[in-house]
Amino acid sequence: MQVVDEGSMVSRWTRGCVYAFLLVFAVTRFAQFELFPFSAFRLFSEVRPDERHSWQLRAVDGDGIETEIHLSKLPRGTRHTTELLGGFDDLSAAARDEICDDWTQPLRDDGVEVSVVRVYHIVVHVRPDGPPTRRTLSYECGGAT
Amino acid sequence: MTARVQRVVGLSDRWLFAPEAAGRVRTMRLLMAALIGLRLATGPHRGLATEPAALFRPVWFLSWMEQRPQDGVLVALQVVGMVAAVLAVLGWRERGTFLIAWSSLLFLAAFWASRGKIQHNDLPLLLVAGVLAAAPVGLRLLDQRRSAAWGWPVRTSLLVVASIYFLTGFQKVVASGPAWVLSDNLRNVMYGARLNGQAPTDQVSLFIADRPVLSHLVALGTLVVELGAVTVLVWVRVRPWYLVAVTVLHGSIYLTHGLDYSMWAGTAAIVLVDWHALLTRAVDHRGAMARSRRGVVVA
Repeated sequence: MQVVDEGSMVSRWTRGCVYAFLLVFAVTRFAQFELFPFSAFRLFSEVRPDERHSWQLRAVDGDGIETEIHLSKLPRGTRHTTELLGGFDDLSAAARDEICDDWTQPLRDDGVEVSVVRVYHIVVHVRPDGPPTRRTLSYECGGAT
Repeated sequence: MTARVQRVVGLSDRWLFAPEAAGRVRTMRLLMAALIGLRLATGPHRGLATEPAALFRPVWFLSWMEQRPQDGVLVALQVVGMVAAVLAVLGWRERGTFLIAWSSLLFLAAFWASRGKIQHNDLPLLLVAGVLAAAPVGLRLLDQRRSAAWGWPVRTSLLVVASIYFLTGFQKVVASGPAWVLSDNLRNVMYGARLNGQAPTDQVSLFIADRPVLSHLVALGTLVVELGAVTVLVWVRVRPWYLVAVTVLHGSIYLTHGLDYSMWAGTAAIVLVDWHALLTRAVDHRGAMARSRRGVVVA
C-alpha cells in the first residue's frame, strides 16, 4: 500500500469555517440554547421524581360524557403537541380553540360528537403502588361543529 | 494569550487538522449519504401530513412560514432527497447531490421538530453530514493519500459525535449531580416509561425499576458510557468498543421507552470505525490471495 503525505492544504477560510462551526456547536450546548439542528442535548438530564405532572385531554359530548383523547394513538404529526399547553396562557381564546379542535378532529371523523375539550392538569404517581392520579381542570376550549 | 492557552490551542489545532486518508472522507460521505437515504425512506416524516396548521411551531429558520407546506411538497422533498442520496452514494456530482439529500432531511427534520418539542433523533446525523457536505470531493474510496485537507472532516466529525455523547452525560451531572445515579431517578424513569405506552414491551423497564440496585447500576453505566466519549478522541482502539457500548445504550432505550435513536448509532458507526482502512485491508488481502493462487499455478 502506497501512502503519500500531501502535507497541509487547509486554507485559512476552511480553518475559519471549521472553528466557527465548532464555536456555534459549543455555545448552543453550554448556553442551553436550541438553534436547530444545534441543540443543548438535554436528554433525561433532570432527576425524575415519583410524581409526573402532565396533561389529560377529554372530549366532552352534549350530555357531558367525556371521551379520552390519546395523542399517542393519533397520527404522528399530532404527538408531543401537548407541549403547546405550556404556553396556552399566552394564546388567544380563538388560537386555543383551534388547537383543541385539531386534537379532536380524528374523533369527529369517526362520528363522535364533541361539544368542548377539557384540558386537565394531572399529577400521576409513577409507582404501581402509588396514590391515585389527581387532576384539576385547567382549560375548556374548542367545540367547533 | 498566555503560554499555556497558546499550547492548548496549538495542540487542539494539530489534532483537528492532522492528516487522514483521502479515501476515508469518500467512504464516510458515501455511508452518510446511504444513511440519509435510509432515514428519508423510513423515517417518521410522512406522519407530518396529518399535522394541523394550529399545531405548527416552526424552528428558527422556518419562522417565515405560517404553516407547514402541503403534503405534496413534503413528499417531493422526501423523494428528491432519496434520489439525491442514491446519486451521492454513486458519486455523481457528489457535492451537489449530497447537499440536496442533506437539505431535504434538514427541512423534514425541522418540520418534525416544529411541534413545540425539539426532536433529537436526527441531530447527530444532520450535524456530521453538515461537516461532510463541506469536505473536499472527487476522491476515490481506496485513495491512500494523506493530508490535513482530508483530516479536518474526519476529526471534526469525531469531535461532534464524541461531544454529543459526552455533553449529554455532562448535562445530567450539571442539572442533577450525583442524584442522577444515587436517587430513585432511574427507577422513576423506568416506571414512568410504561405510562407512555410506546415501548415494545414493559417487561424490560419494569425488570430494572423493580430492582433498586440494578437501577443505580444502569444509571451509573449510562453516565460512564456518555462521559466516556472523550476516550474515543484519544485512543483509536477504544472506538469500536465505544460503538458497541452506545449501540447497547440505544437498544436499551428503545426496549424500555420505544424511542428510536438508530440514527445516533448509525452516525457513530460511520464516524468511529475506519471503514476505509477495513476496505483497503480487504482489497489488499484479496489481491494477496489472487497473487498467491497465480503463484501456485505457475509453480
